Amino acid sequence: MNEYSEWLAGTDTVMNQDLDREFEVQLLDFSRLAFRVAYGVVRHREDAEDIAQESLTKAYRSLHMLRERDRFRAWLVRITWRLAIDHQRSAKRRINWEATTPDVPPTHDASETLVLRERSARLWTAIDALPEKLRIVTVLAGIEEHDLRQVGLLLDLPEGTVKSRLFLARQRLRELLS
Amino acid sequence: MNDDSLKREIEEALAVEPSPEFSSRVRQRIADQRAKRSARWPWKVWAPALAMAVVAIAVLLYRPAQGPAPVQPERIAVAAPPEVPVPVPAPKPPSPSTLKAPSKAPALKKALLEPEVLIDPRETAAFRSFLNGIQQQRIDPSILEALFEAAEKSRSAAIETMPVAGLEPIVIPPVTVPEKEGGSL
Repeated sequence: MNEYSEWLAGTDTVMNQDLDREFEVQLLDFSRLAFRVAYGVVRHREDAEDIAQESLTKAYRSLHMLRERDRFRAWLVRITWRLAIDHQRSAKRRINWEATTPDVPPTHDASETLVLRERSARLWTAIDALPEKLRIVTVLAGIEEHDLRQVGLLLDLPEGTVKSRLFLARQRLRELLS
Repeated sequence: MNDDSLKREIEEALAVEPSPEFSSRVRQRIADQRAKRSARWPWKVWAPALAMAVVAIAVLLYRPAQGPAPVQPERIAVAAPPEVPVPVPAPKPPSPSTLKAPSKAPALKKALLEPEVLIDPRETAAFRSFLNGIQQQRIDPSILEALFEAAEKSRSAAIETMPVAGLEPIVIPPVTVPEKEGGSL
């Protein structure tokens, strides 16, 4: 019995060590990706950080259950997106969402900052008005210079579908912003 | 607004970096998770232990309450007691109360008289020793397979009928009771 438990503990430790190392190496990349995905939904730095932390912890906890390791990024994106959407819904109930403005870095000119903030707010309002399918494609294509193939991999969608959804999304955004 | 400018605007809106302490906070949280995970006892060790405990409890539950194996009492030659004729009570006419409602006593008595299903403690002991043998690897389960196969073969073998010795039927002559003269029993 003791030998058996030692053997099990040994294999478990080796597996965990490999996974831990793999996770450790890519943690910076993963955390930035999770943060940006969350930010694309909640547009609040602190909230996005909290959500990213939560999703990374969740993903790490279930990492050993993931069969295809190369699908980790896609998995993380989906977890983060779901958490961010849930957070946004609960935040909408809690506060007047319309009153919040997205984070815009301050510039030298106060009026320029105001214009930028207003433009950003309009853009985000338009993005929020998109259906979820088009919205996620827009956000993922807008972060980390993801091309159509990479967005397709993250969402487990064919490249053609991503292309058509992105086209539709931009068309609607143009209509909403004009 | 053309496609490129829209794309650029979205990219700019999303080009937000997390705070510098974010990375360290994530690392800390992952480290906490790691510590929690390593502190946890692996379930793979618990599962066989639990299975063995269940088997042990099952074996103990089937054990009779007497505990040690029954010892066959030695037969001692004792003189047979003198036979005393047992008086047979005369049949009484059934009382009206017994005719009205049949009592439940006979059913209860019958249930009590039915033999209790017990497992011989020696069989239990043998089974436990067999299980222990497998756990301690004293018994090779692969041998059992061969034994089962051999038993199966012997069972399926043709049954030979034994020749029955020819016996003459026993003829019993009719019993005749001689009558005593002028007397009765």
